[in-house]
Order: sequence, then structure tokens, then C-alpha cells
Amino acid sequence: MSLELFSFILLVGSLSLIFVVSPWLVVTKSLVSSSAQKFFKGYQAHVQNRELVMENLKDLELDFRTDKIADHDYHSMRDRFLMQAIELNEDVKKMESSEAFFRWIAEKGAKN
Amino acid sequence: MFSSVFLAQSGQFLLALSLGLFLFSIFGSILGVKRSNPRLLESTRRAIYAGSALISISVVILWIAFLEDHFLLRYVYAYSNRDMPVIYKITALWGGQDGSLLFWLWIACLYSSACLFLHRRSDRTLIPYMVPIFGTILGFFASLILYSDNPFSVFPAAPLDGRGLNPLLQNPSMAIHPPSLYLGFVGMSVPFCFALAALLSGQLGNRWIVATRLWSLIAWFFLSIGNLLGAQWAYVELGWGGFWAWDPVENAAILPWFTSSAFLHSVMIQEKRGMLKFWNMHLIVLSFLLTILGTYLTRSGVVQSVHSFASSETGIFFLIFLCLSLLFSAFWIWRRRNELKSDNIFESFLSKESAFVVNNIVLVGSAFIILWSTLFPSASELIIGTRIVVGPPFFNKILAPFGIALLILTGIGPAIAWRKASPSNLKRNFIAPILVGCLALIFVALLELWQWYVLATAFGVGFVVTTIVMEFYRGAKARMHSYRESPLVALVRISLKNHRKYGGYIVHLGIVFIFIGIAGAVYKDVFEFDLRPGQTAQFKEYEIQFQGIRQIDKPNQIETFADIDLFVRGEKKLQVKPARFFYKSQEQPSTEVDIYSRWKEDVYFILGGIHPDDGSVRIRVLLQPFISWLWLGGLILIFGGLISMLPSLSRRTW
Repeated sequence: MSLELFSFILLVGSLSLIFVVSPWLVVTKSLVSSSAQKFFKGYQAHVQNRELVMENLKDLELDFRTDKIADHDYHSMRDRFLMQAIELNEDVKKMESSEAFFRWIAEKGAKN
Repeated sequence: MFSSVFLAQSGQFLLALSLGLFLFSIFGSILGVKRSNPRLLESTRRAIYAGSALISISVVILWIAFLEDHFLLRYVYAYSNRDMPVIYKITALWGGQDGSLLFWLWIACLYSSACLFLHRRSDRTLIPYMVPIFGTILGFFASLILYSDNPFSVFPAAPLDGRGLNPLLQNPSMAIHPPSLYLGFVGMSVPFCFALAALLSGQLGNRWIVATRLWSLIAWFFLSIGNLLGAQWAYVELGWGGFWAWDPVENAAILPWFTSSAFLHSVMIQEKRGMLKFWNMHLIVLSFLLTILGTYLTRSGVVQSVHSFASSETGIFFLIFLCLSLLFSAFWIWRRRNELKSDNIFESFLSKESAFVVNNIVLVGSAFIILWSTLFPSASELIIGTRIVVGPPFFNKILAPFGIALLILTGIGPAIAWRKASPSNLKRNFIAPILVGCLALIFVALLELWQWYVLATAFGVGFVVTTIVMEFYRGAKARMHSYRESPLVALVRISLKNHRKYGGYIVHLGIVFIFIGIAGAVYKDVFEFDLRPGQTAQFKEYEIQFQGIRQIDKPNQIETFADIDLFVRGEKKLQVKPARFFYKSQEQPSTEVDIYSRWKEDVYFILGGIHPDDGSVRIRVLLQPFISWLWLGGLILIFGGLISMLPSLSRRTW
């Protein structure tokens, strides 16, 4: 093995190793706890679902204005989407005012 | 600058190290999920990034070997030579089996790294399940390259010059066609990973489908470009005047396009109505499996094609990988079948949901007909010992009704109502398109074009174009009323704010134009002339005068041109120069056609033969009606695809 090849292998190998094991090398005061992660998981799902329902409402509105949906179907679908959006919004608001949310924010801040 | 040995050995080392990293990502992430160890999970994600970086370096190394003519590497020797232009030394990377597998792996690495990086926050709960799936796919390709088709393997001593790239591949389209096709093929692995991650984790809500939608669109977009460029390459380079020959490899490339197109439609039903979850999961898995099947067909020697790579042992590994992926996916879909049940039921056959289901049946049905017909020669050989070949007339005949149904559905789907179309909705949305469709049909009938396929296409074109125009008109009108905007502003804003929908309509318009091009092929005319210098020949409204033969000796090839003046209704338009090239190192001739393009038709010139004794040539001329519409349709489709992929400007208003 030539010296240049040996140096190349050493350089690339060690850089890869450092990069991959770096999560263990970086000293963090506190990683986000599993309960906070669990909370985040639920919170994120609610926010994303709310976005999706809002997008559906937007599309429904356009479909209605372009004569793509009958009146009674529009109203029933709109009511269903609105109900979902209200429920999700209330859930998100509840979560955002809960103690777990502030704990999650605090832990996230400490991590960063 | 670098020694050949250094390049070869460092390439081998990078492949081996990346394989190790991909294996670590698989087992590490499984362990990380089991033990809920965030550090280990983060480390496995980094292993994918690191492996991807190493594969990128190995690709650069192979390019250096091509550009610096390191013929000690077997692959460089087989697909390059000293006189080859730089552009073809770069494209030679994917010119053969070994390099194309490395190229495939590289694209897969870029996709997986981009996906993991972009979704690291928004889908952090799915990422730990995606990493081992990405790792498995990448590890499979890396081990295949390392142990079976290694582009870094070397000769005992370096030859003086290489054999050079196949002349048919020395075409500018080849710089874009394979990368686009690979971006489409490999791109299907991202939705597959999302789907499997959702199945494994049980997170089968809406989020994964939203993330999958964009990646499917990206893969579909590149697959469309790749297939269109392939058709364009066949038309310009192969010199037979056609753009699609139903060759097994061409078929393999179009199969995932059909299933991913089906998914892009049916996913809307899942998003809006919570239906077809089970079906959509199948479509994603099927699209990915078809890309692997296509690769297997191309590289195993199972099918006979001008496009396939030399048959090798690689095929069997693809078959094993395909079967394992199929079993694994099928098991998890079956296990989660209760969570994949629809939230709603179909309320009427006359609804958008039903139109999309029929669209899916037509698309998936077409895919299965093509698949079966592609495999039929091999199956017949296996069962009865005789290879029964299924040719283009069979494909054209059997797929024509599917094509027409698809074209008509392109108009029905966007305009019909959700849930249940009322008589007033049907009347409002379909009377004008049907009338315009009938007018188009009558117009074509008056031209005495009696083929049923052409007549049906004419009706379909009129019908679909009218529905698209009406969609844009109604959308802009609704915005003008609600937001008091000018017509142009309303049209632009409605299109950009609902870019998925209106981009889709533009794609539909592209499809319509493509259908016009395909229908035109039915009326292709062929003429053949033997001409001496100065002689003329006439056909339809055209006249040609042969001026003489001209030869250019280039380092890579000898080019022989026939200079022909072309007159249209007595007026000289241009000089066309069909040619024959002779590639020196491969000792292989190739035909270079010349084309005079018009919207009405292409005049396609082929230099058939040269008689050196009297200086005469045989010229073959093809008149290809409406072929330019096909390429225009392709460009419109690409534009529509780009509009659909735009990031959302605003979610709350339309």
C-alpha cells in the first residue's frame, strides 16, 4: 500500500468515524426527555392534521365556487371539516397551554 | 495527476467503508428503536450521510479515471478511449453495467440523505423507521457493486487505449436521459421508505401521506422526463423513424410511471375523503417493486433488448431482493390491514371518487398488460420451449382502448363533483366539452381520417381541452368575484395558490398533446429514392435535390453527409444533411438522421446507402404527422409538473 493511499484511507476513515460517533462525543447538559418527546409527537401530529384539514377546507371552498360540488354536499363536508378543524384547534391550544408544553420548550431550549 | 492504482484502490476502499456504514445504519437503528436510544438513532442517520458522502467521492474518482484516461481500470477501458469528447467521458459513467449501478447507488444516496435531512424535524418519529429501510436498499446496491459488478476492478497492466463508448450512446440526449430515468426510478424508493416506516411504526395517520405525495411527484416528474427523452433519443438516434418500439427495456421504464400516476390521483381521495388507504399503500409498494423488476429485466438477460446491459450474474440478486421486498411489504400491509380501512364509502358511480378509481384501474391495468406482454416471450420459452414474441402491433391494438379511456377520464376527473354528481352539475360541466369533442370528431372525419383510434382521439382532445379551459376560466372568475382582481391577476393567483390542482391541469394538457402526436403516427408515409448528384425527387408537396456527398475525418469518427436541398411547394426551405458516421475504435457505423420539423408533420431523412462507384445515394424519407405535438406535449407536461411541485404560497386562502 502506497503512502498516499494509506493517508487517504486514514483521513477518510477517521473523518467518517468522528462524524458517525459525534452524538456520543458532544456533551449536552440535557437531551430532551422521553416524556417530552412523547408530548412533542402528539403535538406535532395535531398541528399537522390541523394544517391538512385547513388545506381541505380551502380546496372545498374552491370546488364550491367553481360548481364542482352540490350545495348540500358542500355544506355537509364543510361542516365536517370545520368541526374537525375546531376540535384540532382546541386540542392544539390546550396542549400549548399545558405544563408539558412549557417543559418541552424548556428542554428544547436547554438542548440548543 | 493521480496514479491508476491509487484511484482504483481508493474507490474500492470507499465502497467497502460505505457498505459498513449502511450495515451499521440498519442494525443500529433497529437497536436504537428497541432501546429508545436517541444517540444511537442520531448516529445511524449520520451513517447514511457519511456513506452517501463516500459514494459521492467514489463517483468523482471514477470520473477522474475517465477524464485522465486510466485504462488500467477495466470499466474505463471498456467504455472510453483517448479521442472521445469530454462530455461522453462524463456520460460513460452510466454507459455500462458496473458504472450505472454505482450511478444508481449515488442517486439513491443523494435521495436518502436529502429526505432524512429535510424531514429530520417534521417527521422525526418516522425517521428511525426509515433509516434501516434506506440502509437496506443502499447496502444492497453497495454490496452488489463491491462483490459482483465493480467499476474499480483493474487489469494486470494498463492497455494503451480504450474500446470507447457505444456510438449509439454518443448522443446529447444520453447526457440527460439516463440520469432522469434513474432519478425517477430511484426516487420511488423514498415513498416506499415512508410507506414502510408508517407500516412498521403504526403511524398511519395523514402525515406520512403528505410527505410521500411530494416525493412521489418528484420521482414521477423525472420518470416522465426520462421516458420522453428516451423516446426522443430513439426518434433522433436510432434512425428507424419511431419513438416507441415496445421494447422490453422501454416497457420496464414506463411501468412505474403508470402506477405512480395512479397513486398521484388516488392519494387525493385519501386526503379529502379518507378512502383508498389500503390501495394507496399497494400502489407505492408496487411502484418501487416495478423499478426493481425493471432493473432485473435490464440486467439479467431474461428479456432480449437493444437497450439491455450484457447479461450477468447480477440479475439473480435483483430477483432475490425483489422477492424479499415483496414478502416484507405484503406481510406488513396485511398486518396493518385494519388500520388501513376507509373512513367513507363510495356514494355514487357518478362522482370524482369513482372517476379516480376508474382512472386507477385503467392505469394499473395498462401496467399489467405491458408487464405480462413483456414477460410473455420468456414465460412461453420457459413453459413450452418456444419463444413467442409479442410485437408492437399487439401492444398498439390492446392498449389503444385503454389510452382512449385514459384520455377521456383526463377530462372527466377534474370537472365531476365529489361524492355524487347532480344532473345540474353534469349538465353545467360536460355539455360544452361534449359539444366541442363532437365538433373535433366531425372535423377529423371530414378529413377522411377513418381510423377509430384517430376519431376517438379527436373527440377526446376537444373534450379534455374544453374542460381544462373551463377549469381555468371558472377558477379565475371565482377569484375575480371574491377578491375583485383583474382577469390576468386572478388567473395567475388561482393557479399559484392552488398549484397542485392547476399544475395537474397543465400536465393533462401536455398529455392531450402527446395523444395528438401518437395518433399522428398512424398516418406515417414512407418514400425511398436512389439519387445521383443533381437529381431531384418529388413526394406530396415536397421536392428534394441531391447535391452530393461530403466527408469529414474527425479523431473519433469519419462523418459522411449527403447534402440535400429541400423545397416546399417550389420554395427552397433549407439544406438537410442526413449522414452515416463510422466510429474508428469500435469499427461500427451509425446512422444520423436529419429532420425538417413542422407542426403539421416532420420530414425525416435517412441516408440509407452510398454507392461510391457513381456517387449515388439511397435516401429514405418518412413523413411523420403531428410528431412535434408529442414533444411539445412533453414540454407542457414538464412545465405542469414543475408548477405542481412549487412550495405552497399560502394555506389559508384559495
